[in-house]
Amino acid sequence: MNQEDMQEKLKDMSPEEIQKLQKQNCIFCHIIEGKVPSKKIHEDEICLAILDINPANPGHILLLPKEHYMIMPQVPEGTMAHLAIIAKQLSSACLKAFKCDGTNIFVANGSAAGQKAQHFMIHIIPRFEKDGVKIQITENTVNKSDLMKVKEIIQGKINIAFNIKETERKEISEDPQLNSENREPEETIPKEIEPQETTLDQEFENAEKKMKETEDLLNSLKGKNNLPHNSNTSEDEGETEDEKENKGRHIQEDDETNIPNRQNPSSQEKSESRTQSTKPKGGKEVNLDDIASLFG
Amino acid sequence: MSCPICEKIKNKKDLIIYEDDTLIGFLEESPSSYGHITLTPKQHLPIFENYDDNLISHIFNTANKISSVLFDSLNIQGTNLLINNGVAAGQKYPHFLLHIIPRTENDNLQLEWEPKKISEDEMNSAEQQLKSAASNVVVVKEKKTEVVEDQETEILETKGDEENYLIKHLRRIP
Repeated sequence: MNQEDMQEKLKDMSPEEIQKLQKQNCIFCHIIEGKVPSKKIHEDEICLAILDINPANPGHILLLPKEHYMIMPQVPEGTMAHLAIIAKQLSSACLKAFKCDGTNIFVANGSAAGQKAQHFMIHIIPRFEKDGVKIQITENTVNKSDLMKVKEIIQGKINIAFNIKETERKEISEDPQLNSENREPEETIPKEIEPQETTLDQEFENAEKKMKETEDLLNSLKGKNNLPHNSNTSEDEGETEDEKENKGRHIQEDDETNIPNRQNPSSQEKSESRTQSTKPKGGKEVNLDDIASLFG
Repeated sequence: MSCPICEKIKNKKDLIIYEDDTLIGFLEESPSSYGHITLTPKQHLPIFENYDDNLISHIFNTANKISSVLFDSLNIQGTNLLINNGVAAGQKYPHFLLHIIPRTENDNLQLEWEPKKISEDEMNSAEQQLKSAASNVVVVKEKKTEVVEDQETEILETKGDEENYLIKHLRRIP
């Protein structure tokens, strides 16, 4: 069967059927079924722990769920909890058995992340001082305003995923310093802004633009190890962001219902809205929830 | 002695991207890639093994969700979860951290290892040593049922999303 036929066939299949097909071709499913020999360290009804045949260090363990999941997000919470507890105990077994100086617990989702097999697994790697295993966290210096752009993009989706409401988040991230600075604006701004439809439009435009910018940013990162650094602006940016966030949350509560009526503002408005530091950002922090779902 | 992570929990509120009763997720200030998040328990303990099973389960499930969110919201092709447990494993501060790192093709991050050539004897002895050390690995039943109950309610809430995500992902990785 050539590739096109295969793709056609895959399109018609349900996720369950695709999973079944993958299972038939998965070496780790064969190991779990006992068709392929392995060095088993631990086995129970949910998971199997075996020694990696291409280990980073002797004693490198692969912890596999018996069910075939390609990547971590497919693993149900109960199974994940079980795997986590077993991983912890296997890690401590490594420390005991080899008197090693530490362990790495490692998960790769996707081939870009170094995933080699289409079966989700947790690596548990015994580590010794100067063992030559090259797993290290790269630290890049980045511009704080870039960091905050990324934060805005992710924050909305995290709030959705965890069912965090804006009001709750406000309490959580309450900061006495910020509050004292912002108490006044918080009270006055909603009155000023409420009747202005255009502000919301600008907010939307801004948010869309920001998402594009950040995507460009992320794209430009590919293949680069050192990120741009601009220490001059970082402090200021951070502070204004915070101010905006606080104001924005307030605005949102009243204006949410108006959002579907947005129109495309002219390019002039766009550039204006960029320079207006407080209004667009603040509203956007909240509106991003909606925008994020539009971009789906 | 003050712990830099505990200090961060107190003083770097603007970088907090996730928070609940027991965990805090920070956007990393010196990231490996944009969207690099570190998830840490509020309780100050040095390593993985110090935390109780419920918290460990909670950490992994939260990290899993955050990793999905990163995949959905950024233009990335994968994520890594990494725990550096102990100084030899690259741990910097005596406070447990879990890294969630967005990955793109050719991003030049140093997160892969060279397989070591190990003799059959060495493999066998590693197996024996580990087997005896891991002979008492169990999951206490009581705790497990608790977790399963939680899971059922949460799955009902998120099922639609998960299916979409699953289909999307299957299309993306050939």
